[in-house]
Amino acid sequence: MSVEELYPFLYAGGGNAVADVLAEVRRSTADKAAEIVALRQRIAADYADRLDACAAALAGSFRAGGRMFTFGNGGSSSDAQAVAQLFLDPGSGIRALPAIALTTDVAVVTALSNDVGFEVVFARQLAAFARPGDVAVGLSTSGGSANVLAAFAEARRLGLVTVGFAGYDGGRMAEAAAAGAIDHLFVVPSASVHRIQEAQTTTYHVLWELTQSCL
Amino acid sequence: MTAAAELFDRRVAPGQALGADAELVALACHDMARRFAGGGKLVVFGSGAAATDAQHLAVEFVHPVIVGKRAFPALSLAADVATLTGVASRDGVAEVFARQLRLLADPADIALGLSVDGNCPLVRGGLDAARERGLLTVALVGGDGGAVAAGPLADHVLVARSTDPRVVKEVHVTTYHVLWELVHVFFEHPGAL
Repeated sequence: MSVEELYPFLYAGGGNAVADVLAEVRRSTADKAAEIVALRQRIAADYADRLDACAAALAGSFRAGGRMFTFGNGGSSSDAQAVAQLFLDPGSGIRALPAIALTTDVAVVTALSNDVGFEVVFARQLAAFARPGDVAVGLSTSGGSANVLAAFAEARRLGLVTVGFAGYDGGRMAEAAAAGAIDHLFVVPSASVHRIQEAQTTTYHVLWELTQSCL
Repeated sequence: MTAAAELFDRRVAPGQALGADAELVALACHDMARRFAGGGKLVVFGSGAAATDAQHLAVEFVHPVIVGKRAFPALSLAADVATLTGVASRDGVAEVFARQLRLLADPADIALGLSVDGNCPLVRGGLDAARERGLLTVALVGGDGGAVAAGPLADHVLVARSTDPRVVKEVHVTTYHVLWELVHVFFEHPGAL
């Protein structure tokens, strides 16, 4: 969506004074805050039970010696890193769990991309590291990232517990879940990449806290 | 109420509080837009989970998700592990952002530090070095704002109203998404810069 569509007031003629723009920007900030609050409440209603089930599965995997692998692209790569960091280094007095982000080793990521192709950057790492019973966590706002889908296919082949975070209508990740390649899929029903990422952040934080409660 | 529902419920008040702070967000956006208009770049830093936010924020500006939006220069100081560990082992961990900032930032730039409690010594060091060089300084903090909110470290201090570091991070994600979007709004109205 263009800025013109988002802020028609600003493009209606005149309205260029600092005060006018500041007022519009203020209102927009308040609107977006209200939007994400409502979206989180909708996810709570839609997914509370499924988050409980997913947390129980993750706790079962960790109890059996499983490790978590996380992956995503762009902003979702920083989320993948945040998920791994949260499980691995949650702060003093909180149980730390083994988790590795597959996005952080630039030598591996560029080697696989250059030599084979960007679609395999996560799948090949799973093939190298993962064992049956480990956990794969993939994030994609569109649900359509080819390397994330390839990683889920590899994770399924290896016998991992698979957890997906997507947005919009879930895209190809929803198809993968329907076909049995993703065990636990959480789709944020929004058309805004930003609100999707914000709601995904809350969802994986809640999942982490529920997992901690199960252990 | 289930445990999951209670956890989501914990997010409502801090989420609404960001809306109440809209004036502060708007003023920070305005100053950031003016720095970009003057040729400045955005330099971002945070430690732990906030390091991932620094990366996220930088990619947000450099490679906008909305097709056709201009790219703004933004650099995360949390990405270069060789430099981070090199500075930390030689000069101490509190120096890791300050050292990079003194070498890589210009006075026209914007420094943005994220710390969930406002007390991260690495972020405080970065903001301190940024002020000395004359950068615009913006801090995203939480809890009671800690040392960052108490001191003169930042021109704009945006406090996420929660003491739960996870909830603070969530409010920060919304805050920097809004900062990104609204900087563009100012920028596209040169009369408002």
